[in-house]
Amino acid sequence: MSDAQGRAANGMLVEARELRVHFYPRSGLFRRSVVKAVDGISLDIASNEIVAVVGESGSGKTTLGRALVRLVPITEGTVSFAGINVAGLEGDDLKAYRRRAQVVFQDPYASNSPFMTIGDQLLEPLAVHGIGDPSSRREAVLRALELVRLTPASDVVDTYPHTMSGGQRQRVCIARALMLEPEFIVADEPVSMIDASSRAEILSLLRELQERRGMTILYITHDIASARHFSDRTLVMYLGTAVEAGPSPAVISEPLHPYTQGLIAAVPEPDPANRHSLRSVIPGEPPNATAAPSGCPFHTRCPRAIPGTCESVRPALKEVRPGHAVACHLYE
Amino acid sequence: MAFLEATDLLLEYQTPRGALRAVDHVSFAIEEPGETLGIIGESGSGKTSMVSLVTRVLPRNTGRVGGRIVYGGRDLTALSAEQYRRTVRWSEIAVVFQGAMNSFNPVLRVGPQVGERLLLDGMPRAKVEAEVERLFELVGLTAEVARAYPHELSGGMKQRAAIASALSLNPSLVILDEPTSALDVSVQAQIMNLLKRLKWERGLSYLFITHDIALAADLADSIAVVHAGELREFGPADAVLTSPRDPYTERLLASIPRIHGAQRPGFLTGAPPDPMDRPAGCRFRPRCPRAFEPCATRPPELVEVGDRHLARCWLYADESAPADAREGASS
Repeated sequence: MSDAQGRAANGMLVEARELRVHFYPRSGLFRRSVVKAVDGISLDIASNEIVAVVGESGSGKTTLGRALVRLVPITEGTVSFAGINVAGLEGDDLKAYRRRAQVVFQDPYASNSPFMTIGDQLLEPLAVHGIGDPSSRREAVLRALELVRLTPASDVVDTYPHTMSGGQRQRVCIARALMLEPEFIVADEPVSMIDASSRAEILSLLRELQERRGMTILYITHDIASARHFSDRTLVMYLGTAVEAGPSPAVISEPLHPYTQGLIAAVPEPDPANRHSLRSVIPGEPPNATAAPSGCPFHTRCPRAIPGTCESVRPALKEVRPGHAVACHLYE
Repeated sequence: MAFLEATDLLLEYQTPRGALRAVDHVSFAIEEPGETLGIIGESGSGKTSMVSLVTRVLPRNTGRVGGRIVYGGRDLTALSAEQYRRTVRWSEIAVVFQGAMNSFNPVLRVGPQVGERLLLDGMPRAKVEAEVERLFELVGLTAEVARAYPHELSGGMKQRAAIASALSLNPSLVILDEPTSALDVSVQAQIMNLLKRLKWERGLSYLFITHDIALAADLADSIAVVHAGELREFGPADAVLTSPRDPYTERLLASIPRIHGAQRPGFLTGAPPDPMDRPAGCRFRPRCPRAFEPCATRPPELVEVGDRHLARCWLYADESAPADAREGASS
């Protein structure tokens, strides 16, 4: 069920239910093992909302984003986009879906062709989808460049990526994602390769696209402090599962899950007193995804694990405050 | 005399477009052994080049080199490459390179790779294994890790091993070039804790290079902010981090997303200027929110803005500086 603007009846644009993406490596060290990259995630994204997915390497956040736009096959569960069953899309239907859901990848140095001008890179999606004629396409390219503030756009179209900084290249990637006027953008670590001083510029741009153009954005990041400022809701992932979800200010100011609390304690702040004390840290590193622990996946690193419970029973994600859910036995 | 004193450093690279001045008359110092200097700047600011003069790891296309580096009373710039290698490198000044975790040979076990430097230094083979285990313990790794191959280790473990390797000949100064930039936040926090402990317990000094001014606060006793090959601001960490004087430092600090408070981070527009075509006057002027009349034409000098605190900005050196602008920069 969807209205004329493509919204589902309940206002949700994306609805994932018990989503699982499992990989079965066919060769190498992990043969015969299963990588449960995404293992039972349910997530609703309302129209015109920015949802941040926060987690460390190996948490499955990138795979979740890719599954929502069908860049990886969905093993189990459902994803519905404005009422369309995304898991079942094939051929022309899948191509049509690509017009509505686009991706901005992490590495702006690797996702621009060094041999194509900026203009040609932006034209390509229009050509692939057979949209417009040469003059209207050129107009669209100039408009997209203006939108991401790569100006003067008429000069930028003829330049090559090597003349640009990382931040400028990432704006090219965003402009390209905008060419098809998608409703939904998955931005996968869009600022992690960019200098700290330029990150907020890219993130403010995404915020502006959401506010002014009504776009819906999934912002994937390992930087929980940026999620505080540039998203409406935050989902914290650990080893393929959701450990906490809720309004971003609540999740980050009053984190409930020990993992979220640890992530927040690890954020560096420019306070000169910090050099006189040790930071409280989460011990160890995330286990290999092929050997996820039993029970709560975080219990092996958790400072507050309850013996006898956490290593055997997997906690369910439960709403413990309005709109704020956590998967932790401490709150049961 | 300062523990490390670099005076008037100059470094140019030869490029097809001509000489590129990466380091342009930069001076900095670490006053006492055990203190840490944070060198902060964006990519392309020249921070790594500056430090490469201290480590003497210079690329092939190095052109003009100038300045003087005095370490523990010795003039390092007067040493031949061979003298530097024998008497300074690793034994006095060691480096943990950016991406050091990926510098291990994948077909050799990690421990023997760390031990190689001890062997070369003349330690009897029979003692090396025990010494490697001691070094690994120091950085929080078990002897088992020493027997593993690099691919069997996580990023954090490899970075710890790289730190162990840098410490193998017991240096007094360790240069850290973006030591955590490839790590997850939780692992980054562990490595910063390890570096802090080593600093406190062993009296190590660091030259800590990073683009993240918030991370610098974890280690640095004093801070040098660099931009376009120049020092913009230099002073005690307490002063630079809490009352920055240079508008560039101020913008860097404002770009840090804070966990507490709803104030959205700001950002610096644009990028450092093309080193072959730097603006006349102040090199930060095209990006500076506080630029005024003299900035366009006259390059500012470093001026004293507080106790041992220097800034390169006309706000503090020109009579016509708007009083409110000056207040803004110090608030």
